[in-house]
Amino acid sequence: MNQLDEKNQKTDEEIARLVQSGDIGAFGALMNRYQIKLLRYGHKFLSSDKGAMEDAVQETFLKAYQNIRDFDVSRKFSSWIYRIAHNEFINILKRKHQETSSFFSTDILFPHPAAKEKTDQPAEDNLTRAMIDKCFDQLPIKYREPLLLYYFEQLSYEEIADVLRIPVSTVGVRLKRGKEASRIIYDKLKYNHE
Amino acid sequence: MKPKYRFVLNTVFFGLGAFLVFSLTVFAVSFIAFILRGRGAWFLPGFGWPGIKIFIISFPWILVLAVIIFLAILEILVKHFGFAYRRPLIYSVLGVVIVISVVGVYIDSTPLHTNALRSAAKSNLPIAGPLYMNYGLAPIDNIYEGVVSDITDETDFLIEAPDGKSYNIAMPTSTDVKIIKNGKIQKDDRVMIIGEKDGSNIKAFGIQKLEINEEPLFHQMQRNMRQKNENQPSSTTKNQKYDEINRNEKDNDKTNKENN
Repeated sequence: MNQLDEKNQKTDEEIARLVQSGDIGAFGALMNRYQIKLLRYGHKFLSSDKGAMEDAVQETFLKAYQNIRDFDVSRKFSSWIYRIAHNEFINILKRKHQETSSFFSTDILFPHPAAKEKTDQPAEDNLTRAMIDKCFDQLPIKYREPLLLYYFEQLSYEEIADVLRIPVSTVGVRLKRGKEASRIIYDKLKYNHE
Repeated sequence: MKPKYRFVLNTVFFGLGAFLVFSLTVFAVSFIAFILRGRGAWFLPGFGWPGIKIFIISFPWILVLAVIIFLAILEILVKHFGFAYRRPLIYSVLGVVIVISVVGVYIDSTPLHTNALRSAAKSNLPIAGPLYMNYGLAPIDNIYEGVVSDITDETDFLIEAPDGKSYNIAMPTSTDVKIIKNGKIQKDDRVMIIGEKDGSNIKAFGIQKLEINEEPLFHQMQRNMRQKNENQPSSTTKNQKYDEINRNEKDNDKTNKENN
């Protein structure tokens, strides 16, 4: 078994630990794993500017490499790198004076007994994904990211909470409201089309 | 790749900053409790609406604003940690407020502020000295305290205030005056009065009998000063009062040294 295969069998966190201990080459394995994911995330997030999105993904990897020693290996690496990417994308939106989610929102204030999305219905998930995809640009920004991270990047509630720095229950609320909003927009689009 | 020590230093600075803001908030909360107690404002709400009105007016709102700003900064610092941002904001806000309040009230129960006020009165407290002098010793308008020296008639009596002055207390009709802790006022009772002063006459809205240990700290300091300096004429301005307290505290120190 060659070195590359060995690394491919390790978890993200194990590879991150290798990089922290000086195996710089191991960072390449992490880049391979996340390049497509982050480009897809950025493509959805910054659909209007492909060049800026690619630069932001590169910047994300650069920052991840520079700050890898700050990563706590007991946490999920995916949340950590998506958080860096999220910050990069938000900075681009800010530079372009585009809408970003506000620092404070009432849905982070109180607990919400929101039920978790059912993940055992792939067919329904595919339909939801297609519906969200159609009207993604028209959704309010605060619903876009949780939907994107949950339905397209397959992150868990806890990971999304870590990326967006919001309570876990708020993730559930935003997913539910985001789905409802996409259904309304989708129906409207369908009606206009007909 | 940035070296590990940079992140360690970052965490240390972040932790020290949070600790500093936490300490400032606790100090401000305990100081608010101390000056409310020291100036006798604790008693005011017991007098009903007129007391509540004076309580609200005399409340140290600038310090309250400072506490709110400190709490906001602390909340932002705490939100960096997963245990805080993963839960609804109300939990971390309540947690911070409860911890700050409990520690603040505990610190108020220690002699820290009393000793600091005494040091400030002796001009021995740099930086925080003016804070103690401006807030801790500032009298509240419409609150008077003293010992009943004579009962003139059913509606009037005389008190001797901590500054040595005598005031005639007039109760327009007994039903207009809220008397707390047993209505009958007797000679040598210590009383706190809220009312309007006109010269040496005070028209009372409320009267409360005080136990010896309930005398506000500022009044105690005034009384101690007067007992030491019986022959010295009492003064009325705030600065003159401070000077007298200062002189008196220095005299106390000198006497103690001589005795030793």
